[in-house]
Amino acid sequence: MEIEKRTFFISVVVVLCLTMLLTLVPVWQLVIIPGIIAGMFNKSLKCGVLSGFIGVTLSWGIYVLVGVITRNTYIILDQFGALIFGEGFGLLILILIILLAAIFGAIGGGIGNGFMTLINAYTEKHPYRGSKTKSE
Amino acid sequence: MRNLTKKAIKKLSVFIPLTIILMTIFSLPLMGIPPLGDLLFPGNGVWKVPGELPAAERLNIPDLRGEVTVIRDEWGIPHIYASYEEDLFFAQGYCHAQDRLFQMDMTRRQVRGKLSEVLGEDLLAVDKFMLAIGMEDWAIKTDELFRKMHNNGTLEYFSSFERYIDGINYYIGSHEDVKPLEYHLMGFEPTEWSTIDTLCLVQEMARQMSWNYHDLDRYTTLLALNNINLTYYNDLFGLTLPYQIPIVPDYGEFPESPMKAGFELNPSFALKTEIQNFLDNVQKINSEKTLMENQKDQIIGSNNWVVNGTLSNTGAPILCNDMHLGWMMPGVWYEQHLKAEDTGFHVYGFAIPGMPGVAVGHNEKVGWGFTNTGYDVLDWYYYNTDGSNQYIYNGTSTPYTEKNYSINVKGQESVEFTVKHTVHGPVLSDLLDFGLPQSLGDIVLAPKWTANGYFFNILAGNGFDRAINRAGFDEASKDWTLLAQNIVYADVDGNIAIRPTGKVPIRDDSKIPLGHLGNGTLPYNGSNGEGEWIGYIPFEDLPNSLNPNQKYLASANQIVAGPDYNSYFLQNEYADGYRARRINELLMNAADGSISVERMKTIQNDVNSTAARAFVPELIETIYDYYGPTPPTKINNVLTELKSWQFVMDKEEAAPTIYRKWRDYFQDFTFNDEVEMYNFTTRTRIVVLEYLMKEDEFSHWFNDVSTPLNETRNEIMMLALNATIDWLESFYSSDDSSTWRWGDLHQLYFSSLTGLDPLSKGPYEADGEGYTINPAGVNIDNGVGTARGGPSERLIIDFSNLNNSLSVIPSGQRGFSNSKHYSDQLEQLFLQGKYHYQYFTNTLYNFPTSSIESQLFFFPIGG
Repeated sequence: MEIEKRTFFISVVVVLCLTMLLTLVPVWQLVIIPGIIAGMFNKSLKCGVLSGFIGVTLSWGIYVLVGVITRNTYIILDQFGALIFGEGFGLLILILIILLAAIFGAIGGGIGNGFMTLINAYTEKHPYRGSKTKSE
Repeated sequence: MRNLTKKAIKKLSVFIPLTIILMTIFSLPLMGIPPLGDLLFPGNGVWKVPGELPAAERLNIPDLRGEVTVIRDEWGIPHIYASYEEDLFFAQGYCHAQDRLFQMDMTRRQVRGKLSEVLGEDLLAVDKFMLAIGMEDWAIKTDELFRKMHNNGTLEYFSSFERYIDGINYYIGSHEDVKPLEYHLMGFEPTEWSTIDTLCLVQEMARQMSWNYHDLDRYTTLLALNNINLTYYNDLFGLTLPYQIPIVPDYGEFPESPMKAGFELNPSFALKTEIQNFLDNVQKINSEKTLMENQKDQIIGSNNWVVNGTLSNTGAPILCNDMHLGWMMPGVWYEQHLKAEDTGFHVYGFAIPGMPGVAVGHNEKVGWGFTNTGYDVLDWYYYNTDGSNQYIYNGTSTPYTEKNYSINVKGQESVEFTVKHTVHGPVLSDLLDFGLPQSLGDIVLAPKWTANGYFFNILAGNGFDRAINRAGFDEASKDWTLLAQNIVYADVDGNIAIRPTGKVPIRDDSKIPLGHLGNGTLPYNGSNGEGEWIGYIPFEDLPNSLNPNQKYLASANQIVAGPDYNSYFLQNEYADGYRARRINELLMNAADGSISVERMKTIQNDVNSTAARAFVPELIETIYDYYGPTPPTKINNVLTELKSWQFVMDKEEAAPTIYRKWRDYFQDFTFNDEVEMYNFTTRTRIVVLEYLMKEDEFSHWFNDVSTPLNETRNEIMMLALNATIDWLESFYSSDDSSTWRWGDLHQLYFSSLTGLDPLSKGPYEADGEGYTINPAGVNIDNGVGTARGGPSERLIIDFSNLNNSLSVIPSGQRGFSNSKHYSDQLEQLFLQGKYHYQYFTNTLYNFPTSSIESQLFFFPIGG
C-alpha cells in the first residue's frame, strides 16, 4: 500500500515535469504521453488515471497561471471567448483548457494503464522469457 | 492471464477511441478558426503572443557599432538614444516590428498582391487590382534606382534605410516562436522585410490619398444633367465652391458668390453606360468600395495650422496638426523619439510603422504637419480598340505592352494573369471579371497616375527630419513627389509657412473637344491624343506663403489658392470648407499674445459647427415666416431647442440631433428627386445647399420634379422639419424633443485590423460631426451612425519649449490586444480630448526617471 502511494506521488511529479517540458514543443497532442507514462507507473487503473489527471492539470494550471500573469493572456482568452460565445467568456475558456488538461491526463493514464496490463498479461504468459539466457 | 488481456483490451478500447475523438476535434479547423488545440493549449497559440515588455532587457547584436538605449515612457512610446545614427535606425526598425509587425505585414501584402496567399481566394480580386495599378512595380523600380544611386555615392542615406530594414528582420528572426495573435488566428508566418516593402507603404499612402474615380463619376453626372439642362452641372459642381477661404492667403480671396451658370458643357454621350458600368462593377472589389465610401464621407481630410510669435503667448510659433484617416486598432501612426549622437539627428513625431524616421513632427529647429491637398494627380483615358492586342492611340493602331503576374492563393493553385498597358497606364476595364464585357464594347479604360513613376518621399521625409531652417526644408520638399500635402511649417527662429507640395501634372488640352472641361476634370479620349501630360508644375511655382501679414496659416482640405493664382491648374476636389471657416474664425479674431498651447488644445477639440451656424438661423427664420409667431406645438418645441443652441455638437444636447436630421432631409428633399429622375451619382455638397438656401430662394432645385406643384425653399425646409420630427419621435420613442440626445445617434468605432469585433474598440458616444474641427462624420439615415474615421493623431508643437509639445493617437503604441498600450491613449486621452507630453530630452540622462516604464539595451556583440 505504502509503495503504491509512493509510486502514485512520484508519477504525479514525473507527469507534471514532463508535461511542462512538452509545452516547449508546439505540438499539443504530445500532452497524452505524460498521462500514458503515469498510467504505466501505477498498478491500478484508478491511480493511473488519477496521477495523469492531477499531473497534467497541475502542469497546465501552472503554465496558464504564469501566462495569465506575465503575458496578459487572459485578455486574449476573453477576446477569444467573445469571438465564439459573446462578451465575458474568458474565464470559461480558461476553465475549459484546465478541464481538457484533466481529461487528456486522465485518458492518458487510462491508456498507459491499459498498456501496462497488456504488458503484464504478456509477461505472465512468458514468465521465464526474460531470464532464459541467464539459466542457459 | 486471459483475464488480464481482456481487462487491458477493455481499458484500451475505451480510452484510445476517446483520445482519437478528442484529438481530432481539437486538431481540425472550425468555422474558419484554426484548430482550437493549436490556438488555446499551452505551448502554442495564445500562449505565444508577446506580453508586456520586461522592465529591462539586454540584447547583443551583431554588426552594431555602439550602444543603443530604448526607453519606453508610460505610454509605451520608444525614446531611442544611440551613439551612431545607423544603430539608431536599426533600433527603430526593431521597435516597429516589436509593436506593429502584423499591421506592417498586412499593408505590404495588400500592396504586393499577397493577401490571397494567406487569406484565400476571396481576396484574389483585391490582389489582382493592386498589382495591376502598378504600386509594387514602381516600388521595385524606385528601389533599383536608390541602389544605383547608393552604389555611385549619391545616396548616403540608403545605408541608414538598410539598417532600419535590418532592425525589422532581426526582430522577426529572433521571435519566430512568439508572434502576434493575428498570425495564430490566420495561420501564417511573418516573412522577411525588404526596402521594397517599405516603399510599397509609401505607395499605399499615395493610393489612399489620391487614387480615385472622380473623372469618371463627374463624366456620368455631367452627361446625366446636361441631358436636362446645360447649366445644371455647374449649378451643383461648378468651379469654385462657395465660401472657400484659400489655404495660401497670398493669391487673393474669392467673391462671396462665385458660382457661375450658363456654361455649355456637352461632351460625347457615347460612353455613359460603359463608364457607369465600370464604376458599378469596380465597387465589387472590397478595397475600391471602401476607398470610394471614405472619399464620399470625406474621411480622408485633415487640419493643420500655425500661429506666429505675435499671436502666441510664448513669443514663438505654435504649430498644430491632426490628420484624418480611417480609424484602426492599432492606429495608423506610431509615435517615437529618435536621437543619434554622431550626427546630431534628433527628431520626435509620427511614423508609419515600416518606414524609417518620422513623417510628421519636429526636430530641434523646425516642425511640420500635413493635410491632403486634393491636387488632381490622376486622369482616366478611354481608347478605341483595334482587335484584342491593339488600341488606337493618337490616331494610330498601337500594340499594348503586357505584364504578367502570378498570385499564390491559399489552398489552391497559383493564378497567372496578364495586364495590358497603354502608353498611359494599365487597362483596368479588361481586368475584372465582374460581368463587364471583355473590353467595354470596343473601348478600354486606363488611368495615368503620378504614383506610376519614381518617387522620393522617403528622401523628403529624411530631409524634413534633418532640416534646420526654411531653406533646408524647402529643399527637402522638392523630393515630396507622391501624396501631395499642404505642408505647414514653423521654426524656432519664428518663421511660419505653408506650401501645398507634390507632383502635379500639366496637361496639353489643345486637342480636347468643345464641351470638355480640360484640366483632367473629365476622362480624355486617348485615341485622339487628348490630355497628354507634358510636365509637372515646377516646385517654385506651387502656391506658398511665408510669414504672411495675417500672423497665422491654416489648412483643412479647402481650396489651395485664391483667384490670383493663375500659373497652373491645381485641383477639382476640395472640402466644403466648414472646418476651414471655423479655424480661420478662431485664429483671425484672436488677439495678439492670446494663443497658448492650452488654447490650441481646445481648438483641436472644437465641435462648434459652422455648418449648423449657416443653416439653423435660416431654419428658425423660415419657421416664423411659414407659421407666424405661434407655430404648432411640436414645431415650437423643436424651435425652443434650436433657439437656445450655441451650435456646439454636444452629445448630451438635443439641438444637434434636430439640426443634423433636418439638414439630411433638407438635402434629400432638395436634390434626391433630381438624382433619381436624372440618374446621377456625384455627391451633392452641403455647401452648395447652403449657397442655394441663402442666395437663391426660388432655385429650381427646391422644386420637387416628381410632383406637379412648384415647391419653394420654405416649403422644402418645413417638409424636412416635419419629417425630422416624425423620424426622431419614432427613433427615440418619445415626443419630448429635449430627450433626443445627439450621443444616442452619433458614435465612434475603432475597428481592428482583422475586422474582429472583440479586438475592436467602441462604440463610444461622441461630440462633433463631419464638419467640426474635431470631425466624426456619420450617416444616420437608418438610425445610429458610427464614425469610422477622423483624427488619426493630434500634435501641438510649442517652439518656445519643444519639451512642452503635446501629442496623442486614437489607439496605443502596441498592436497587441493584450497589451495595456493597445488602447490606452484612445481610452485615457483621445476620447477626453487630452494629450501627453513628448519628453523631447536631448540626452538619455535628462529623461524623467518617473516616466520610464521599461528599457531595452542594444550592445554590439563583444561590447
